[in-house]
Amino acid sequence: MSMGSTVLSIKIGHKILPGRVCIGLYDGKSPCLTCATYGERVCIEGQILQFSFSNILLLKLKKTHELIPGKSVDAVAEDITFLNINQPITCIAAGPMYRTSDRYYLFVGTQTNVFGYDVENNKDLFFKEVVDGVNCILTGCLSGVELGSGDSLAIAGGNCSLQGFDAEGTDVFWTVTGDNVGAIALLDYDGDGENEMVVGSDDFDIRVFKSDQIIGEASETDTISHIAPLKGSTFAYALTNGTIGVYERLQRLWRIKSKNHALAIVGFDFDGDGFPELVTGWSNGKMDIRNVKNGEVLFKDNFNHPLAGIFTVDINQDGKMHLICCDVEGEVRIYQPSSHDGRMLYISPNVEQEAIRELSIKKHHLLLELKNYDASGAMKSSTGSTTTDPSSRSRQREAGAIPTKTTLQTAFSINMGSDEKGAHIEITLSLNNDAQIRSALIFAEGIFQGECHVVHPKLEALQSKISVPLMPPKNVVVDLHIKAYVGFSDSEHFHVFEMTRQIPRFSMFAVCKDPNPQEITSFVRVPIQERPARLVMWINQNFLLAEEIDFKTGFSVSFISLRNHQELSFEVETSGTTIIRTNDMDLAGDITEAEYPDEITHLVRAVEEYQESNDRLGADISDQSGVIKTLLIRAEDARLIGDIKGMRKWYMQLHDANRNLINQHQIRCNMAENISESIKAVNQIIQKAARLRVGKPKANVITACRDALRVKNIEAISRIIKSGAT
Amino acid sequence: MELNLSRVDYLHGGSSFPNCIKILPTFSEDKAQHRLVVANREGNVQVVGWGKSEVITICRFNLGTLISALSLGGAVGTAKDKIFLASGNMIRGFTKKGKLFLEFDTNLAESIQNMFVTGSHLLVCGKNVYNQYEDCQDTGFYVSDDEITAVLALQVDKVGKLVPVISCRDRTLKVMDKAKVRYLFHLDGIPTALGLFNGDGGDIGSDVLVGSSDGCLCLVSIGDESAILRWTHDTETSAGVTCVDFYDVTANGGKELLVGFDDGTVQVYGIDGDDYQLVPPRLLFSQTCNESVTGITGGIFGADNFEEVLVVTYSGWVYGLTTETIDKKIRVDDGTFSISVDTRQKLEKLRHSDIIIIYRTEIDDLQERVIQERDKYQTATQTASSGFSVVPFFKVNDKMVLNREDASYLLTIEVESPIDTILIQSDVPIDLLDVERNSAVVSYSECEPDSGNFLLVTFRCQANTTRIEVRLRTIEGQHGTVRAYVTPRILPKCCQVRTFSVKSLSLHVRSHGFDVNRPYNTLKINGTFSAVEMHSWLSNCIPEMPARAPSSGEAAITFLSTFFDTILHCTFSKGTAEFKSDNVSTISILKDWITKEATNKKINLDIDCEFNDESVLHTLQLIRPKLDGYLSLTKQVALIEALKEIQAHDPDFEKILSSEYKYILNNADKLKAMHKRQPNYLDRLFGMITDLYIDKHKYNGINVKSRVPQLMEVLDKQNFDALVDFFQAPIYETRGSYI
Repeated sequence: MSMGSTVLSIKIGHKILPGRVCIGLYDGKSPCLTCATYGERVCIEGQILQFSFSNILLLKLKKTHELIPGKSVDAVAEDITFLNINQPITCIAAGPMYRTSDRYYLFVGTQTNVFGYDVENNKDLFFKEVVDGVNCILTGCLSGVELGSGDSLAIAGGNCSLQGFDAEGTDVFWTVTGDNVGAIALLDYDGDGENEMVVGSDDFDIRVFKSDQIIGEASETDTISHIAPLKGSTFAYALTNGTIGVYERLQRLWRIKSKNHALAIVGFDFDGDGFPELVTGWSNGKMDIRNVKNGEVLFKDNFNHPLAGIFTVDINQDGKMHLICCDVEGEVRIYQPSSHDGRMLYISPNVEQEAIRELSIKKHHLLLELKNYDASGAMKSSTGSTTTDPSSRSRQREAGAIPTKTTLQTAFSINMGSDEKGAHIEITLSLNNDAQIRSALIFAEGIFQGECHVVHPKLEALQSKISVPLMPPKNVVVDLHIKAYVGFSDSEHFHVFEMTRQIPRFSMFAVCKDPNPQEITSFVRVPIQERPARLVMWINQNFLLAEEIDFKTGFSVSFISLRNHQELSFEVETSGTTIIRTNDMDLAGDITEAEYPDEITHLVRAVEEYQESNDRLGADISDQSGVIKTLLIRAEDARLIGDIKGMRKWYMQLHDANRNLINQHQIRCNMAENISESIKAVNQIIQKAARLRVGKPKANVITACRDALRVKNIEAISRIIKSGAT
Repeated sequence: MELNLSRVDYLHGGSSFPNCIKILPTFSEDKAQHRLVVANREGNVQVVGWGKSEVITICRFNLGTLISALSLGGAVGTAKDKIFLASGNMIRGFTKKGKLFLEFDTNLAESIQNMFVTGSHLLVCGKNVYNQYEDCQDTGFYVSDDEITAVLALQVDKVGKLVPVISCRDRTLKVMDKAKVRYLFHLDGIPTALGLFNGDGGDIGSDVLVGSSDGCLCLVSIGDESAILRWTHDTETSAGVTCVDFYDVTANGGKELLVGFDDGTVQVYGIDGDDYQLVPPRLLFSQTCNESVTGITGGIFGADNFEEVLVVTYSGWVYGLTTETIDKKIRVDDGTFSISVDTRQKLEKLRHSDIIIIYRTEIDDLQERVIQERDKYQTATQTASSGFSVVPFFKVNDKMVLNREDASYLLTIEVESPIDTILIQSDVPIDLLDVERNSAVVSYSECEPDSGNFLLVTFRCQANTTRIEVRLRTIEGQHGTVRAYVTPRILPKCCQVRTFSVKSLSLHVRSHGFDVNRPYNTLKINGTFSAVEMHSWLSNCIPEMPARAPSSGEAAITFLSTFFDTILHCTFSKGTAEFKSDNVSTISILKDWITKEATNKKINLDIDCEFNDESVLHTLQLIRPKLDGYLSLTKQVALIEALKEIQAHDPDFEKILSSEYKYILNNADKLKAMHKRQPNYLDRLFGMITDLYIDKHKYNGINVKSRVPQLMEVLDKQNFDALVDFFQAPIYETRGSYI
């Protein structure tokens, strides 16, 4: 389906870095496509070292009537402006900062900095160093944040942290999340008229922040790459494994998974009904528009290259939104709204044809199914009396006949493992008669290498029972979608038994026979208002237990982790106060007291050390590059005057200096990696510590830790983690 | 594309068989709508016309048995408007009004697969049997060693006598005379579709168009004593040709060539009217739907005055590619509407929406019935105390063919209903390469070492996927089975397994050119085996062996390695067999295989191997262009990004570029695609060179496995002369012989 004459197409002639594209109305009126493009690279000894330069390209978008519909035009050079950024750009965003002005400001994030830029007046707003690095950035208002200047924030998501800057670059907001931030969106989640922040991170979680408090959390199945607000509390998300979907608050409306992955998602009212549709740009160059409620595809288009960005913009400044899509090779397509009723000209001639085709396909399949029931009824009546004739029996088997009343049962159990295979849980599939399981497919997200695990025993070893080992890496509830092919070893046709089973959240913990809870030095004490009976119920539901724990007024139970053999124990007193002992802080939740002192001291020291040597190396490198310049000039001079021997000498020296430089660069790279790892770990600890508390104390812990970090007061951090912020 | 055709869906005729639609000829005024005859496998036949928006059924009848072939015919000099249908070994003739006028039992031993009617002659083919009849009198039969894929006869009124031509899987055309083979004509590919050129055999009636399983079209002129290949055209679809026809779609007075492929592609070619024997056809139109095409024909069907191509797909959809430009009816150019366009658009919409409503109600009714039946079925399976529950039968159209170009197998699976999941399991090491066109989510599952699995891959298909392609790369010397478990989205949920064997010499294909001048290694085997036994041993080892043992008791068959271009020539008869190959590895694999088979049958063999030292160097020379070609391709691909970047920053850059770099820039996409098609190609090549090295020394009784790391070092240097030297260096150190 091509849109034919309804598309305006512009070729920029430059590559666009995916995801690093935005639209800015820098003069307050005319839209300007802003994208990061490749800068210079230095090629040394055949290997390409990215010497860290990107450019930002600004393209003024003309009003649509100045363009010829259906034709592809090249962008005119005078419409293009470049901004040189001497660092690799990780993300860009543009937005207005003052309520009094429509002018947009450009914000650019790099691996170490974030800066604001006033494009119209060609001057900097601010330039800030961000040690965590910036993965994604956006602008907008956020409820509960006091601003120093301006009316909007630029929010940068980094290594487990979220930072908000006002128009002067003061960081007025800081909080932490579970892992690297992959996507941020601002939307009115609770319907109070102010924006909340939805953050997706690399630990597969989507969290909703109101100010710095988490008010909602949803677990996904892979790293979250994009979140886009749709309407009200509805938002769309995309994962790196190719899934896209829509949430209404924390209720997932639908999701689909594709072989390709989404590179851009945006909400856009495509059919003019006042509600947005979801526009997705894929890595294979496909663009589709889907119904937000059910994911049905309403429109498709194909690009020749992966998509780099999609936006909506009022290009003619007449209040009508256009859809703009660009691919990584710099093709920009503008989809214009229709001239009469504001709806787009998407009526491709084949839309109805296709609807008819789809309906008749549906009809065909229903008829086929009906026919199948007829046929299977016929077969049964002819073989209803159990035949003893072996040849007809084998014919039946080949056709996939199995005894009626065959059922498939499943059971979970814990296997303490052997020498070859560590401890794990397993699911056993078994049939109630002599029919055999030819193969079993288990589809589940996040616990296998791919999305599916297959068991296919040798034909001579088919049984009516098979066990599948499972090792969920995280403490989350996992749905297993099981398909079992049931028949006999000589069958060519099989019955497919389908069922869904859930692994309990703490399935990877086995009851410990001789517990030794005193050895666990870290613990959390919780005063629980609930009756202990409720706690027993909770344990029964969330752990895999051979037999359920009986209710007693006070009890203790110990588990051992199948992952790392660490112990976890619950001591429930009659009053309801519970002590949860574990050395794994992540494991402990909803709690008030903890002891986790050592780790953090070590990490913060490491960060400091790395930073020092990094600075030292940076100085070295600038010295060296001075040397290189001189050497190069000398060598070239020697060449010009024909002093080949001299030239050779200088070039040899240059070669050495060059090699030195590369080595140092390598060291710096490693160092930077170490720093970011350590910072990430620190942020994660703060986040975990915050998770041990609920409500206001939770937010307080984060702020207090931040302050302590800033003044490098490590003892204070330990104290805060232990007893909360006061 | 020069020709602009738009798709219109007409009807669903039920599961199709090859060439199951034909346009009935009319004598009425020019350019009026034609009628179409459509048959389906289940025995339903209908003659239909097209009204304004729906099918008008002229007549409809049911044979009550499966139909396998459809042909139109008529007495010489009259219109070919009689419908002939083959089912089992019966032939029935119907008039265009649906009246039965002929019922005839052919007494053929096999069920009829192909049929051709011309004048009073009737030609029918089973899998291997060919039989001809005149006025229903048997005039002779012939049994072919290999499977027959298509049959036709030259026009009797043009060539003066009956000249039947049958195509066989052994890459031959057999030109018949009185049910005897007059001569064989060798083809490069496996012929899968035959058509009389221009519908009548061309100028003197002797030209036949042949389509092959590797997507080639060629024109063959059938002479009295021999045939001439006029041209071969590679359609570059890498899909098999399933049907061909000729029709004047462009209404320019000359017929065009219509071709249907098993990957769903439909192509229309222009033919040079005067020099058609010299000038290959020119592509005018190409379009792909997602189901394989089983029949194609041309006519005027949807609307008066508009020629169109009529296509039937595997699951039985009949659609037209019409010259009527539907687009124009509702094209809206940059916001300006002309009233007539607008009204037409509304009318058009109205027409369609009516149909949609009718369909919706129909579907609602059906859905209700389905739910009832589903419940009934559920209770039946759970309450019946004894007895068996069976799964619905569904037909799977599958094939696994070797692609000559990159020596990989293309596995295709097609089902009439949408596919839910496919599980591919292999007990032999193979590489699986995903095909870009697939939209299914692929997931590789871990294989436990002792489970007998080397590959477990699931394909979870998107809605409405009925066809999936997978590319597989095999390793010669390894044999086993690939299984595909196909689960369609039908209820009750069921699954069917299809098995494909991977043979030891999996990369060999049948060939007809035995070049006597190559340096051959020879393997001679004598023993107490029959020709049939040897035939069956070889059938399990080499693909494309004839389906039956040679009727004469002697066989001489030549094969070509698609990877190395080396030759394997087999001759065998009772008690003796001789194999010649210029690749020593091939001989080695064959020897191991036959020894194993004979041991299983407790037959003593007398084996004599003659190793030709020159052959190794010869094989290396054959590899050289592949090796060099791939290395330079890798280099070129690595440069693409860098060149493009410089180009982006300096528009004048191209002027100063060397021709090689210019070539890279201009062909960047093509080069990238070529490179992507062959992942790990070098590893594969190196693996084969290593085998060659080991096998070479094996014949001298030396085990050189310990020297393989050194060979790898030499290979990494990418110096061909060094490689030759390494191969020829004498080895003194012997570590036990194992010949």
